[in-house]
Amino acid sequence: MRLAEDLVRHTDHWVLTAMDARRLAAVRIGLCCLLALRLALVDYEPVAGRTPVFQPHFYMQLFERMPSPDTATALKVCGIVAALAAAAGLALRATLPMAFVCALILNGMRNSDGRVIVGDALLMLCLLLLIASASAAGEAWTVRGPVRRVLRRIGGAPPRMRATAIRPVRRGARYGWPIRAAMIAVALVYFLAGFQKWRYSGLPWVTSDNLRWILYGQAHPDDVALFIANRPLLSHFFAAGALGLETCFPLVLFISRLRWLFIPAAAAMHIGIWLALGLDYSAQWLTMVIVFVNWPVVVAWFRRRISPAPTLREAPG
Amino acid sequence: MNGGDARDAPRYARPFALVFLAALVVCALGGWNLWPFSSWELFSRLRTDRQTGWEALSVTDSGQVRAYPLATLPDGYRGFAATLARFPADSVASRDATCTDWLHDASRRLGPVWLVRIYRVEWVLSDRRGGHAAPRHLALAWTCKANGAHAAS
Repeated sequence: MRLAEDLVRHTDHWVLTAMDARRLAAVRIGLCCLLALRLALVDYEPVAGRTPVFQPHFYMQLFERMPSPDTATALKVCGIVAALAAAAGLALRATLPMAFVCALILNGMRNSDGRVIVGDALLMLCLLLLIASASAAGEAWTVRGPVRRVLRRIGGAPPRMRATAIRPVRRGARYGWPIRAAMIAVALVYFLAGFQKWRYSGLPWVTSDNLRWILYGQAHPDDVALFIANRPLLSHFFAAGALGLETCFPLVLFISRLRWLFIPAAAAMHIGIWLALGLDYSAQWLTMVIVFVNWPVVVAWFRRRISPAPTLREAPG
Repeated sequence: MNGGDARDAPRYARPFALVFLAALVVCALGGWNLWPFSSWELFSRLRTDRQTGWEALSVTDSGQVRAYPLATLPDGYRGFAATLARFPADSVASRDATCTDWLHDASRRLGPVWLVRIYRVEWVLSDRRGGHAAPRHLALAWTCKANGAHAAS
């Protein structure tokens, strides 16, 4: 009982940890730019306007039929503009939910066509946490200041003197909890993908020819797919690697050094899946990178490289 | 892992994170796909080397036999496969109407078409001939003509 209480207290303490406001801002910029990119690149036209095979995803039941191509285009444009405004930190309470809703409907359309597409699900889950963080995500690295100055200049008001003092780095649990919850969500997503393989297939997922049949089973397997599928030992190796990685991924939450191994490995796995199966999981692995990298430290490192003047020490995360 | 002062976190942070993460786990355990809370079951079930699918051939008025490109249909191959899965249970009128649509579509793409033959295709993935898949086994399932759909005997 005492152990369980300690575990709950420790987890609670870990999630509600204090973090740098800029780190949450970096996650906001990264996720919103990624969302804008996904909305711009994904073609929603093929599913727009369909009715005969419309198997509505649960929230798509709100629509009588699949939204038309014109509606899809309007949602796409609106979503991109809102996501970019949110990335810039402008009217975050309005722009972020707007971008989220547009993406939710467009992804709902893709998921209402008889096939589950999970590639963007993790991005959407992390955006949900960003929305829940409310204004905290917009308290650093925004363009609000420069925009205000420009508006003031246009309005003819005299420009205010710029503060020259270095602002203290804001830290707090209000910036930390969305990031830590997103880290757990990423770890859970990988773990659950592995867990389902253990649950429905068990060890034969690795020891049988399952991966070879997946690769051979495509309409037009490419050279990468055939190279792996034609070599049973290599197929078992990749299957074992993928299952091992997914199952052990939550260790990155407890042993931060493992992030240097697991995060590049997971990105490599997704790139391998893209090369061999043509399935695009870029939104998922880029979300993982955006959430786990300590961006203020990266920015400080770049600044030091560009101008070797002493800077404030960055806090580890 | 460094701890911190939790006092400045909003009051809802703890219950929100708890419900959010619980939803993620419950949807996976229950096998519910409440997107974006997915069940994460992709590729989790074992594949076998026996595969089935559909192919269609059209016969033009001049007697030419040409492949009817299912992937380029408005609903794609999956739409075609979904229609054929429920085809035997559909009413005769519904089947005839669907067949007429396919005939018109084929005529629009390939020139005047009087017949579309739909085949059930079976193949074994482990059956490889050099670097290529072995030929597929085709069995005629349906024939679409101007007067409607006819099941293969």
